[in-house]
Amino acid sequence: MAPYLLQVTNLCRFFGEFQAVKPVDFKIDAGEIVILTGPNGAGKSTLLSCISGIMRPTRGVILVDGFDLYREEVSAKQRLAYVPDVPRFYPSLTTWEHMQFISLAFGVRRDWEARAENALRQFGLWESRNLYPHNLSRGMRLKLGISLALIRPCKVLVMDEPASALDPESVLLLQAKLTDMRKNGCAILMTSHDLGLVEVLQAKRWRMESGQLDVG
Amino acid sequence: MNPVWQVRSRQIASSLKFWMALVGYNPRERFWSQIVYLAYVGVFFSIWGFGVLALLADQGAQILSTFQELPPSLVSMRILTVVLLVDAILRGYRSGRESPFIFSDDDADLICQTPVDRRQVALAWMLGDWILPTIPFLSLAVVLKFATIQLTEAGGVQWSHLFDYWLAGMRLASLVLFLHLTFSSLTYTLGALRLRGDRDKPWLRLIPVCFALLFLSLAVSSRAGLEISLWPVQFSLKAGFNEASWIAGFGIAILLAFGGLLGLYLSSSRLNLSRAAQESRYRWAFQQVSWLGNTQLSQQMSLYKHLGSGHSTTHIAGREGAWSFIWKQWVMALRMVRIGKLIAWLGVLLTCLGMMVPLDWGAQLWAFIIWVLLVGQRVTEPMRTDLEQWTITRQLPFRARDAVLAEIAGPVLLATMLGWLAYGLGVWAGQTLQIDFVPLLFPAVLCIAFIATYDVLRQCRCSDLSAGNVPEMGFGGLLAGALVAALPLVLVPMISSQSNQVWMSFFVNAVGFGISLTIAFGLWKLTASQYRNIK
Repeated sequence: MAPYLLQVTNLCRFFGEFQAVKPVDFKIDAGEIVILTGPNGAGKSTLLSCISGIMRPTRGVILVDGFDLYREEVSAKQRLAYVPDVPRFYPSLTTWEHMQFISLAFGVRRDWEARAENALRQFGLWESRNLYPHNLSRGMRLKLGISLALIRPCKVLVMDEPASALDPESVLLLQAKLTDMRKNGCAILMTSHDLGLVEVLQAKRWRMESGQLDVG
Repeated sequence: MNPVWQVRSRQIASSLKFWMALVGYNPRERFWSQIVYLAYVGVFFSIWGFGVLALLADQGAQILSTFQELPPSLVSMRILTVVLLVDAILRGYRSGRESPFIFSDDDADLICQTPVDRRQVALAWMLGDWILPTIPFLSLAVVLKFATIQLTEAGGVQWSHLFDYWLAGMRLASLVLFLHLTFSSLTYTLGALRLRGDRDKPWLRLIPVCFALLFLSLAVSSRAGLEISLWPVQFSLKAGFNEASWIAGFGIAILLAFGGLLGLYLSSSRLNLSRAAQESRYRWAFQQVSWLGNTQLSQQMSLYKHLGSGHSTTHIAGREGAWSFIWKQWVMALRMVRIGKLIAWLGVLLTCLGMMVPLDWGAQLWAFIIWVLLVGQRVTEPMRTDLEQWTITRQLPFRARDAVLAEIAGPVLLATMLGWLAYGLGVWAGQTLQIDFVPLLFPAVLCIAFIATYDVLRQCRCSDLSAGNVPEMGFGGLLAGALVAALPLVLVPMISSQSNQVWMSFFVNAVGFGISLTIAFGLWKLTASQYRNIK
């Protein structure tokens, strides 16, 4: 039997004495979209940071397509993409060079230029391809972060409030992209305060409160 | 009071309060104890400043005594003239490119959008910003005057002459103060002329360049012509060195300053304050950040300014996988070349040379420690830049060992090559240097690089990295780096020098090289493990 694309077991995260994420277990299969909701400070972003490897959990195992994120990190990271709520970029690489670097790093050999151009055009970043990221607006930086995640062949996509700073047209485009990715067998986990997205994307809704995850 | 001067005086008072707060004085507490404390601070810093300048004068006297055929006062005068002129030309050129008047966001609203007298604004802003930059020039003048007295006074400086000694320094400083005011007002005048109306006048920046070329050509071809053209400045300085009447010199310095201020007053009637505010917004923000000691933000601002808005795509061809990391490092390194970085690498070269030249073991030891520190800082810089972008760097699908190696490869090679260049320069200069340094530099630099990187990673926390806060190499890293580098660079040459046999020296070097590489390999694994396991 094929493994789940994302499998989290007994994951928790402490900051000193404070337990930001209480032990959680869940699995997300191919073609599933899960939207994590909950109040500010509930631990949603911390959970996503742990799942994407940005923040090491205090305890727990994260399997991406069957690969342990901390023991088989190269294989796991090849299959995982994360878009933080405030993406950060290398200061002296332009928008286009970021696309080039991520394509090279993730071994996207064929048509990377066409894919990159397509992504940048769709998100309205083509005219800004030679700009450094510090000259982009907040929304444009988020779009670049999403484009960098979409250009690589990921199986699990983790996004922290991706629609928060996007214009309405880009939100519609993102919805279409996510729907396509689901059809292609990608597992998607994202946070959002927009409950309408649950319906539009036909996603599962999980709720998080005080570090406790309720998967319904 | 004129509203312009009222706003400006409030700003100067507020900046004074900032400096007062730094020394622990709170002007809001109106107790006698605070006034006594302020007096104490004043006396303390006066004595401390006097002591420091007198100490520096000892070094200054040594430098002046190297010009044996020229009298110390003449050398001092020439040094002061050159320093004042170079500063004025550089600032003049800058004023020809961007506004010398620095306005805050509040000023932009309060002053620049209102119909106040532009000439008053120009004078008030120039005088307000002029005081602080004079301090290094006044200090230099006092040091040179003290040094000249030390060299010319028969029997050296006596305690009973202390007041005269101080007074002589002050007399020269008072002249330099007004000469600096003259040059400052001239550079601001140039800025005011450029900021007249709406159109830029780029040719104005050529005026300081023309002056620089004129003085240079006069210095080479006609010494008399140079002296005539600089007569007012030279005469004032002569008065400070007791070679002319002080009253006459002071009078000329005041006359020059008055002329400069008059020039500024006349040229600023149509000063476009909106343009000035727009151009100086960055400098104002940078000034604020620097005052608050936020070095990370000030470095970031300076980098963004250096980078500009964008760049055409690089033509350097990239390769897939872990090689893409090297590609990225290469592209980023080329874009981030700045004078400050070149000077830092020059420091690596010079300290390495100092470490190799066998003059005095104490000096060699210091050079070695500073070299380790500089190499540690340089080699960790690319990794620190990447760690600042933690959310993107952490997602890259590279083995930790490859990532660590890719981060340090370029700087390690550069530091090693600079070491070899230092060796070549030393030999070229006729020094007898031990050949052992040549093969052992590479493993030594590699060990320092891994230790320094490990030390940075050891202090990292994911939550801090996500916010862009990356620690620097600490004292522990410096100490450990010095220890691991001491084996190839101190111990091996020491043992090798005990034997006259070539094969023995070769054997010791080979063993030292092998041991150092083994240590470096162990450190590589340790650093990679630390990189993977950042908490």
